[in-house]
Amino acid sequence: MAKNVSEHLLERVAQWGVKRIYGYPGDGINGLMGAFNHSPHGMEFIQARHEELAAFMACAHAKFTGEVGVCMATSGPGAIHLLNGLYDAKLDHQPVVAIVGQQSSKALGGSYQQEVDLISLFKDVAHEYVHMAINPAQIRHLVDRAFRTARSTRSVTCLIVPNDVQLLPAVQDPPREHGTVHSGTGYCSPRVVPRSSDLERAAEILNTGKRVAMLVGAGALHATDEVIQVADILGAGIAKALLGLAAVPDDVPYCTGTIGLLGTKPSYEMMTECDTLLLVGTSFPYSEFLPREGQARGVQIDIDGTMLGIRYPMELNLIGDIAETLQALAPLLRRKTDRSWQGKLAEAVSGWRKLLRERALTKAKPINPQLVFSELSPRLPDRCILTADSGSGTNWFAGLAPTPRHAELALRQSRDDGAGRAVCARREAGVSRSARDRLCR
Amino acid sequence: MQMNGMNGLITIEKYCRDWADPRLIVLVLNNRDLNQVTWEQRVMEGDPKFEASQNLPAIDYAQYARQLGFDAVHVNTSEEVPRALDMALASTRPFVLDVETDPDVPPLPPHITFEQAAGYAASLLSGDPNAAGLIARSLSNMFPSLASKVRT
Repeated sequence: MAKNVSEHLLERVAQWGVKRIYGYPGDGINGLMGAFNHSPHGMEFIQARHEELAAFMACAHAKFTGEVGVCMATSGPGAIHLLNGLYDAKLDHQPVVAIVGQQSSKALGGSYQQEVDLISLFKDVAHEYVHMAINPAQIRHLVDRAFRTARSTRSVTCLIVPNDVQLLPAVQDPPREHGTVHSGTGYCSPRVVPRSSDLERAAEILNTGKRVAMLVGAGALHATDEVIQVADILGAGIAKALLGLAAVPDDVPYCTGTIGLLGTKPSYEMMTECDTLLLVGTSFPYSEFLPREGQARGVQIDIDGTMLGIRYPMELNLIGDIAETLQALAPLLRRKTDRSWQGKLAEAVSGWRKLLRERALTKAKPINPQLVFSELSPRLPDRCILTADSGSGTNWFAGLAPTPRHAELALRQSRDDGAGRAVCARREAGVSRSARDRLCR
Repeated sequence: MQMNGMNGLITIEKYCRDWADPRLIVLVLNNRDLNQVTWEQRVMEGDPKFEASQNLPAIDYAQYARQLGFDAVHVNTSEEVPRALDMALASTRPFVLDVETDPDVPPLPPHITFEQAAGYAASLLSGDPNAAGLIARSLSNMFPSLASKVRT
């Protein structure tokens, strides 16, 4: 039975299935640190070198486990340090809860030591839910809502707990009276599939096309078989956004690899020549690498309705889980009898690979970075975990390391650059997965 | 690596003994240059590499890794690369592979636009400190089969 607010908070967090919190201590969260000593659930505190890294680790935890990642930091400077890692989670749509300390509630508004307006500070990165506890009776519903919101909106949420509140007597069950909230734990992810009439409209567009280009992203990471099946039926090529690199292994002959500045020529040519575009779980931002407006009829599928129809004016925008939606769509598709488009793409891919190998073997001083990846690629073990940082190495990583079957991959560089985050992914991959080879750059 | 990565290695050291499988490879492309941004300065802005912002201090990452108790190898010839990769993949604990790479190898986009080519040419004309290497490496990467014959 929790005695104070901090113990109650950790106990409630544990009831959401959390076993590990990444953080860095400070006197603004000493109440919470003390509660770890008494946690009956054995909540583990993983000490980072810097709060930014703790937030990246929480994000990597979410990416590799599918669970909510949790990070913790002290008031003022500690809280500010979290931001960069939290934005990584926000922009990559990962559920992360940040728990941060604050100066004593008695001092707030008094221009006190390290007093920062934390609600305003976190209002952008954690806009779905950011609240400060001022009464012990709030803890139960603040934790419940932070976790449920993070899960259901795949977003960052934030709880702020002033250090004096952390030590107040716990109120686990608010009195049943006017002005109290009685929340509960638990979350079940829904099955999200478009209506069958909309799937039929999608099938009509895709069946009519003669040169179908698919572009897959992070939303397709769990839908490898479905993506390949649909591409096979449609005689399509598959290009991959960087975050979707592990969605389709590169031994699929009509997989044209990455796209964009870091991408392949076959992907570029497929997009300039296609008559139908199928975007699958991606918000790949660079429109100059997509078809010209009006060139192709478009269908997009994404689990998040707000991400639809941004990059290309789609004829049909479908909200759905990628695996479930493609499974439902496949029986409505007619197998293309003309396989020449797909065959041409496969030929272009093998020519491109040959060129990359030739480039890797050109002389450099002292070592050609392309050679490292060209040699690494055939050595990559199945089911390895790959992570990459941002930099010119991302170019070589994107093009030269064909992804093996069942690889798991996370990039810490997506849309918010910053070095060092790959190390967090490495560390998190290390604790969350035990029997995998790991390769990191 | 120098911004956060080296600190992250300390955290790996702190916890890796608790992992059921402590195999982990960190590959450092050590070119002493904040290379991607250097290329962006050239290609997007048409500026030469700004050495004050782009050059990185030399760090012996392998020695640093060994100090943390990891296995590590420093490689500075192409011939050593395959064996170093095999060693790293065979290691049963964290391994740092420090490879000295050439910052002048151009990350060529799949399709070079006029603006990119013009920016790159302008950066060379405005006196890029790496101009000689850039021209050689760019030509050999654009025409690799030719380059292998003439040995640029």
